[in-house]
Order: sequence, then C-alpha cells, then structure tokens
Amino acid sequence: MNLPDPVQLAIPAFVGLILLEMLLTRLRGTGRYDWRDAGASLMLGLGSTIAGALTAGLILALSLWVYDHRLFEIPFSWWAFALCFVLDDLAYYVFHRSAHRVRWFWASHVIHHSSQHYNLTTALRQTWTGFFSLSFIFRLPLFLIGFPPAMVFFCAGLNLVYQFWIHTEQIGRMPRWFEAVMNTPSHHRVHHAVNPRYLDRNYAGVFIIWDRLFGTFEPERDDDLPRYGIVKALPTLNPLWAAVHEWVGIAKDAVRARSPSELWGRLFGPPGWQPDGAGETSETIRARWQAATEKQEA
Amino acid sequence: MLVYLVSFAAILLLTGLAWILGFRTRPGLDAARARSEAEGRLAGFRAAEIVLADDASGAVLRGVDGSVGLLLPLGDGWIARRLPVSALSWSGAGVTARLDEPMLRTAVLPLAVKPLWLEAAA
Ligand SMILES: [Zn+2]
Ligand SMILES: [Zn+2]
Repeated sequence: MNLPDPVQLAIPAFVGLILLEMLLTRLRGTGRYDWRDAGASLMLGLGSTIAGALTAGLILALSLWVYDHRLFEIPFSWWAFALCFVLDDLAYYVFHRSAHRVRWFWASHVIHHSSQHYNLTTALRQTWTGFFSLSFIFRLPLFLIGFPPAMVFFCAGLNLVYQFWIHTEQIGRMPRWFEAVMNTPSHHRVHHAVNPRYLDRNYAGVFIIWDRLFGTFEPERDDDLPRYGIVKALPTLNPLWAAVHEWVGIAKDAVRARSPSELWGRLFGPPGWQPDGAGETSETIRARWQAATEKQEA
Repeated sequence: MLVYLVSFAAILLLTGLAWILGFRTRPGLDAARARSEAEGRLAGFRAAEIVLADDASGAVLRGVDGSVGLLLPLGDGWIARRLPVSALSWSGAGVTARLDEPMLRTAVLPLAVKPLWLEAAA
C-alpha cells in the first residue's frame, strides 16, 4: 500500500503558520522571535530531512527484515491504523524519555532543545544524527508485532506533524478535556523549560496520558513561567555546532575516562553525569533548587 | 531535490521576514532583569550584588554563596553561567571570565570601574 508522507504534505502549512505566528508575536507582544535563531532552527530542520532521506533506505530495509519475522498478521484496516497510531505514540514516549535520560540518545535529541526560544520554528529544529544514535530501534517492536512498515511510517509522520503546532506561546491553555488527554502547547512548554521544577517532564508526543500513567507529568504553572533551552545554553547560534556539540563532548569525555564504569556513565548515563555524583543531572539540579527554595522560605 | 530547493527558499523568506518584522534587537539589561535571568537559569543561585556591563549587554553577579553568575549576550537574549570567583580576572577593559568551553574559552564584559567585591576576591 502506497501512503503519502504527511510531513512533506504539511510543509506549506508549516510555512503559513510560522508567518502567522510571527505576525501575532509582533502584534500581541507575547512570545519571542529572533531572526538568527529562527534561521538556525529552519536550517536544522532542512538538514534533518536531508539526513533522514540519506538513511531512509537502511531503516526501511531493517524494518522490513523485522516485519518478515512478525508475530501477527495485521491488515490495512481503520482499527489497525488507530491502534498503530496509539502504539507508535507509546513507542515515541519510550524513545523520548530515553532521549532525555541516556546521554547517547540525548546527544542526538539535544538539537531540538538547543534554542532558548519557543516558537513554531523550534518545532522544526530536529536532529541530524538520529540514525547514528540508533533512535530507530524504539519503533522496531511495532514491526515485530506485525504492523506493516508503510502504516508505521505514516503514523510516525502524523505524530511529527501533530507536534508542530504545540511549539507556540500564542496559545495559553486548551479546553480542560483536551489538556487532560492530548499533548498541548502548555504541556510541551514545560518539556522545553529548564526551570528545575520542569526538567525532564512531559515526554509525550500526541497523548499526554503516557506521562500521567508513568509519573512524568508536570503541569505548567502561572507562577513559574518556563525558561526555554538546555541547562548549559550554547554560546553560539551556529546550527552546525547545535547539531554536533554533544557528540564532541561525548568523544572528549570518552577519551578521558579512567575506568570502564566511568566510560559507561559518560556514554550511557544521564546527561550531565560525572563520576562520584559530581555532575549536574536533572536530579541534582532539582535538589539544589529545592534546598535553596526551602532556605529562602525558612 | 526540488523540495529541498523550495524549502531553502522558504527558509530565506521566513528568516528575512523575521528580520524585517524587527526581531533583531536585544532589550537592554537592567538589574532586575539580570537578577531574574541569572536566578531563573542557574538553579539555586541567589544574587547578592549585580554589576551591569557598561554597554548593558551582560552582567556579572555575585551570589550570596560567593559564587559568580555571568550573563553574556546571545541573539536577542543572554546565556547564563555559574563560575568560581577564581575564574575571573580584571584588565583595564573590564572583567575577563575563563570558561574553557569549546566555543567559549573566555568572555570579556566591558566595565569601567572594578567592583569592590572583585577587588577583594582577586
Ligand atoms: Zn525532548
Ligand atoms: Zn519540542
């Protein structure tokens, strides 16, 4: 079955909505744009589609190989699409959580978080090194279950398109029932924020229910406005550096590691990990913030 | 191939429009903003003293715990770093911070007058 690529079809809408958001940002004074940051995000998006196209054949071949060993025969029917969409979103949650908790995956995903802005161009700031980091492994179980690769890639495309519109400060909160079930601008602002309260929260793609189920949900608060980016903001707007900086960091740390356990921690520990607990992980940052807040209140 | 060329043209268009719409200025830094930027970005940091750079592009802040917060200009905002006082040195042009990062070895904040607390530290 030949299915269209939802991302390619959506590109004109992406452009139109970015234009609209820029105008709203100017007229309403909410949200932020910087032309260099926006340009860098868009270039990273283009680079990501090129990198994706270069490795698409290999990923397809691997997917088909796994599909050949499938457990069930799943037809191209509406219920299969619906199930595939939900399970693909669960796979995305697992991928995304790992992408924030394992430095090897983070080195690829950090690109998406490397801007201190949060607007629709940030949505397009996507990785160049997803294949190298092996992020495709998270989808393989779907093929093993028996979902046809064309169906999975179609659902994955829809998932990515859905995540575009939530990268905005122009929308405050959606209706309550929607905020309860779906990922929204408010939930995803939390995900992009470096406020200690918000670090490593709201990994959802389309359905926020995964975060509620697995204990990683944090609501946005009006008394703790999100500050976007990464703990150690990049000192340059250069998109090339955004694409590779964490890999450079990993390589340097790996060469300097003094024991196998340190090497393991540097590669696969949480981002910011250092031997003897000296590092800056989201846990230590949150603990330091909590201690400082309690001290101030006392 | 065509889709990439069209995408590239759209990128130039959108980036140019952002420039035309005026998204290219950085608001000046005042003490209140410097405090909120530093305390908001550096977990647990509480500023005791705030010294703005002469061109209001950045700031150096002394924390109540004796550490230093640094705000450096980037795009329309700032990046924040926390350092020990020993990473700062003074020259006639201002304060120099040794950061030893790949894309940020050192940074200079222009200051006409050396803050007293830096005198005591250096
Ligand atoms: Zn993320
Ligand atoms: Zn995002």
